[in-house]
Amino acid sequence: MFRINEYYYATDIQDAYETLIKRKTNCILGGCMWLRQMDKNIFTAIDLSKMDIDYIKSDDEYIYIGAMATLSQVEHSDLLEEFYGDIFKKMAYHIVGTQFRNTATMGGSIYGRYGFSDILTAFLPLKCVIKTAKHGEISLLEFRNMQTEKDVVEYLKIPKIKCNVAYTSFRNQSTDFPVLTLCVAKYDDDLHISVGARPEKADLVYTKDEALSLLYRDNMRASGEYRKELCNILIDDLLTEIEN
Amino acid sequence: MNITTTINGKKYIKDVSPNVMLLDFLRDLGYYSVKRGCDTTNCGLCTVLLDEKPVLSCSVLVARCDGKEILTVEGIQDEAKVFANFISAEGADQCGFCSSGFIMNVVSMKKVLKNPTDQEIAHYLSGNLCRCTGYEGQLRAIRNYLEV
Repeated sequence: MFRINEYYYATDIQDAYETLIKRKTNCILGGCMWLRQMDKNIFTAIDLSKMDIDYIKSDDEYIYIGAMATLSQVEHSDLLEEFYGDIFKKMAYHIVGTQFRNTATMGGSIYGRYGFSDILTAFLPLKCVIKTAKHGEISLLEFRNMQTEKDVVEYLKIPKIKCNVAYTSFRNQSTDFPVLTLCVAKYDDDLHISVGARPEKADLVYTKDEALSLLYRDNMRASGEYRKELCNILIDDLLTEIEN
Repeated sequence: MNITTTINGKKYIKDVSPNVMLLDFLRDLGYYSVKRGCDTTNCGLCTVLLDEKPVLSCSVLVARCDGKEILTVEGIQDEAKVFANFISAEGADQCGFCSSGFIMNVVSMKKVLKNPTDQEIAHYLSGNLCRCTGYEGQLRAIRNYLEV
């Protein structure tokens, strides 16, 4: 079980970051969905929920998703659906349940760069930019490739480009962690393919051959060999979907 | 730390530890309909409405509920009784341990989904587990309750 010594409502991103780096055991709170399953001492728990960063909004070029926006907000956003169709509905569809998605946040899901993450897989091919307190705006791919370090996510922004994109995941059982997650986006003639839950964190590649040469490992849900064969078939399905 | 919340229409100002989860906070106040059924944030038994949205109270820090409204089954007795009659008419309830969380999510679903299909109902309620039944009785009861 976790133990929190003190609770702090951050006023802005810089305040949250400065509080975070004051002490090794200080911690940013996302949706807290995994928190109670951890054996962790937290000196100062930093809450971002009073910073008004639970928005999904847009300007001329980008759609901005605030770090405290929930997975449900992303799942049901008309703005995101206008440009990216139903992929965010598909992304969130099997994630535990309505109650879980009403609380789990985009910031926590992206910051964690979890191997099982539907979220990272879906956003990685979409030319996204992430803003963090430490690094400012950087590409999501660059963020994905970094080591996990103390930082605070402010928002994720996605270009308002209408592209052909498709998402799928394969699960042994609905609402379980995925055996494989896959997202394909096509920009003119360029393919962007992300493959996650191998069970490594999602990686971005540009051809089907590259996707099949990624590392596929065994875990309790499936063998690496099975995952690779699934990927082989599901990529074709998604390519057919976006061509149509 | 001090928090102010409204539970089933009643205002509470409480000094709470930052470690406390909403589920434990509610049970300490006597709202025993809220139950813990798992250790993995999966079962949905602890479902309450937080500012009208269903959440898992086992995983919400009570510090997050400052200034918010919470609704449990105790706060919707009349509506819960109506739905419970549909449930009993279909013989869907067995041990009943999951019922209060299930009812809260059904009440939320009724407001969100208009004329839902069976698939939409199952998807909305996929975070509510029942280990006695096969969900068929509940689904019949929900269809009757929603008149779909």
